[in-house]
Amino acid sequence: ALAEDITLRIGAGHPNGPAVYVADVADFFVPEVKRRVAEETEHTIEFVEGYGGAIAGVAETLESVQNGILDIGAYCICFEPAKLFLHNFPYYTPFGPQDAAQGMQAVRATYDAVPWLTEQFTAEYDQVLLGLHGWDNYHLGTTDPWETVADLQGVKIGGAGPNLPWLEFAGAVPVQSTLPDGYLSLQTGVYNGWLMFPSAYLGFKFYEPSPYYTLIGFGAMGVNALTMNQRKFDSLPEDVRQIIVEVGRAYEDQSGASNNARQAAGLEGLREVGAEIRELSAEARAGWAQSLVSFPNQQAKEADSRGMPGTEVMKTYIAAVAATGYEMPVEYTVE
Amino acid sequence: MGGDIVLWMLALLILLIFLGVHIGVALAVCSALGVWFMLGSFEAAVSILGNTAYEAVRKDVFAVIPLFVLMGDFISRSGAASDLYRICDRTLKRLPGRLAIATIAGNTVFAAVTGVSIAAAAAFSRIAYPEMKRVGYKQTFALGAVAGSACLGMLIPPSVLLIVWAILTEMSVGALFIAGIIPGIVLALLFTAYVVVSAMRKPEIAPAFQEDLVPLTPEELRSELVGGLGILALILLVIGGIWTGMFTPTEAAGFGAIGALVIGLVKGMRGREILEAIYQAGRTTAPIMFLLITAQMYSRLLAIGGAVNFIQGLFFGLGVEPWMIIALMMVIWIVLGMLVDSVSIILLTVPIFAPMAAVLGLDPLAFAIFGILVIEAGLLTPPFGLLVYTVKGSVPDPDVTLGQIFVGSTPYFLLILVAALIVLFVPALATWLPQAML
Amino acid sequence: MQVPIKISRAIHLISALWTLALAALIFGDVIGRTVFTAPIPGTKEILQNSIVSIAFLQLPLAIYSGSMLRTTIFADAVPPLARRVLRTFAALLGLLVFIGLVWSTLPSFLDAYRIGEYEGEGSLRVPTWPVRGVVLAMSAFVGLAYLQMIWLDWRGRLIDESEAPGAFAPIGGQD
Ligand code: NA
Ligand code: NA
Repeated sequence: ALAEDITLRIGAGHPNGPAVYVADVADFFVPEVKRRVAEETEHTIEFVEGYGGAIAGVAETLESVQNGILDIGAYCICFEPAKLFLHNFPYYTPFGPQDAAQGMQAVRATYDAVPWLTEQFTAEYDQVLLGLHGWDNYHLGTTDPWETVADLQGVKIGGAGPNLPWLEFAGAVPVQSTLPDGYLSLQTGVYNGWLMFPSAYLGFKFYEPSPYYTLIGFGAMGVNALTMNQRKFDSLPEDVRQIIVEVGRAYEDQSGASNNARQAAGLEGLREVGAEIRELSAEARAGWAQSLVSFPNQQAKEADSRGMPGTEVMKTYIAAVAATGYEMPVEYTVE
Repeated sequence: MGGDIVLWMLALLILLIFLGVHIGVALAVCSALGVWFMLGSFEAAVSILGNTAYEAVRKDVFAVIPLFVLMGDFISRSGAASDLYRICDRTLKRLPGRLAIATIAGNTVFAAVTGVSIAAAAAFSRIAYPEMKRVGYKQTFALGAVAGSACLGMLIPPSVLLIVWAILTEMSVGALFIAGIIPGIVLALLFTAYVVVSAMRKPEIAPAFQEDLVPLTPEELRSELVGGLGILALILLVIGGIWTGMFTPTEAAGFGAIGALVIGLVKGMRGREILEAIYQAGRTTAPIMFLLITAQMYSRLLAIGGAVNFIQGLFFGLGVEPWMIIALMMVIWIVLGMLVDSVSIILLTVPIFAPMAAVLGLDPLAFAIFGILVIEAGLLTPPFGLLVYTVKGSVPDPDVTLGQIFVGSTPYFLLILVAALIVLFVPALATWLPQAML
Repeated sequence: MQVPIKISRAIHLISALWTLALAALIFGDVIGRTVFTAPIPGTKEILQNSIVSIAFLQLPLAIYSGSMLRTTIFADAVPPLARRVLRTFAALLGLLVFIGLVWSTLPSFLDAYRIGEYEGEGSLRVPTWPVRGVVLAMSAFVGLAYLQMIWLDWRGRLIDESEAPGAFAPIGGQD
């Protein structure tokens, strides 16, 4: 084969920095693919990078990869609640693994056991799943201190997408929002809390208007995808394709450690800037989980009704979590 | 390859705008064509249009534009604006160019109410320009004051630019807000000094108001008081709401529109006039919103074409003195400012420039304010000067040409760059307040 | 021939009143939140979807009334026939852009309708097809408006070489 100079457009809706999955694209995936292509093949590869929505916003990335505006896109599946309804399964099983590596292991096991999850990207949206990523453990920051879940009754709490039902079950009032809007909205009282992992809570400065950060442990969520346009993928030389697939998987493999590091650094950072970090009591946590006990089954059935293998995926994931040795605070059953 | 196409599309954009094609249409055509050439896919080219049309303004913060336009329309049609300007004119009796100064003062206050400067430009085109015209100000001088001082809206908090910059660079939004205050006031003083000096050198461009020999009737006095105090109350409500943390800018805009409607009702506006204000506010808003949508299409073309990589390569390939790198950044911002909107410029350049500035040893707060000043100067430059088009779209005077507004805005453009350099050389202007507060 | 212009005026008036309604909604939401600690649910969703819709609903009249922003630096310097040719060229490009918008919005509208695409979750699910539908319908209308402007232009019916007759009249005074 002749040596080719390849250019790939890669993008994400979130900015490079506060969002770990984007930072790992920019700091790991891109340079690693470049390096390996240069060293191991006769080709060269360059990336045009458009993060922070410069090419496509968070809710447009899947479509932009599908129609070829982006060659490779990284996005949170949470912004595709209809198209990738079932792929949000970690959100439907809250209080799962606290350790992001453990969580990602269970998510990967589920993808491997139910090939439909991977095939859906290709069959419906003309893209290849290169690797998964996720968010670190979710907690709750509020403008005011609180003790029991009952204190959250009627409190307005911001969140994005499929995690909003966690709040509804607790009696809080969910407000759909995006990270960039969070600061002003917390400051002005549009809502009084944000359901957010510490890295972003720190990165977006939410501790300034909303300094009470309660460690609830909804779990790490493996819900981010790195995908590549199918036609573009097919057009690349075999050896380059191989490298992209391998680095995509390596991106996924390092995501657990990367998210864990961010969780630790985020909590450390929040402590340093003077946020008040509190622990939720074990009973309160179990009570919250109990209130959500029917949630996984409910979502499985909704997915089934949409022609997706909902029951199969939810059962597989719950079993996969158990297989990692992590114990859920309640026993979720999916019939 | 992408860089070439971006450059060709840039040339085509300028040509189309020059030929009188609707600017939004020209931006959309160049975006779609550029994407088509670059990607070789017609599907991708048209989907850039559709995707962006659906997503570009689908955020609640964009509601500030129609709502502040509506607020301005209610105020200007209620006659309250005329009241305010007559009061200012009497109060500032001895100052040359006092209506222009009142415009600057008004914008300084208005800036604390709006996160985007086009809302201020639209409102003051309707409030201040007709008054200056009535008193006989030179057209370019009056138009420049309206367009130029609207830039204050992007510097004085709250500001969409400050928020976007803070998030991209992981800085504190609160600190950056506070950092904008003193430079904003410095800029307002520079503008005022320019107006005073110009009016003293050529009194005919800003004639003094001829005081009525007949004293005001009690009704006239009452009307002026209602109008003047009404605006003051409105500003207090809107600013107070934001500064006490009760409102987001969007909510403040909603309250502003309702408050302005109340002032209109008190001042005697009724059914048909109110309907007319609402209707005309819509006519002002539509072309601006379309520009915002298409400007985002174009900034996506730049991103897809790798203009970012191209610029970074340019910098590193030079191997020059630090001050030359800063100067080059300024030039790039000014050139981009001729062509695309400020938020897009920040999205495209700050991720590259901010780390370079840190390497050069510049304070991040001061660099942010410096950058925002230079970038917002682009709001006044042809061919794509968003504020200039906003003023053109909003002034109730069909004789005004874009050229006149560009000419009148030039001194303000230069003063914004002067302010930027002042902040660059005296970073304490930006850093002192935030440091004092933290 | 006046019918589309009248429709564009009616649509514009509806969207303008809609803007005022948004102000009232915000007012109610903030009062509800601060006084009764009961905000109006879904305010944010209504706002963001309204803004796109309003922007597109107001476009046809913006074309008919010649409000679209453009520069006349070159046009001012050439004879009337050349100006008319330039205007036609500009309108054809406009037509092209909005055909492109119809082309790309139609499949996403149909998809959104077919799969029941929505945003948000739980009590805040908002279907996306209505806004996509507004963008689609209005883009088609704007295309028609550009065509009609060319037709009016060559029949010498444009006022000040920029406005369709009846487009700019104040709301109170019927033409
Ligand atoms: Na401002
Ligand atoms: Na400009």
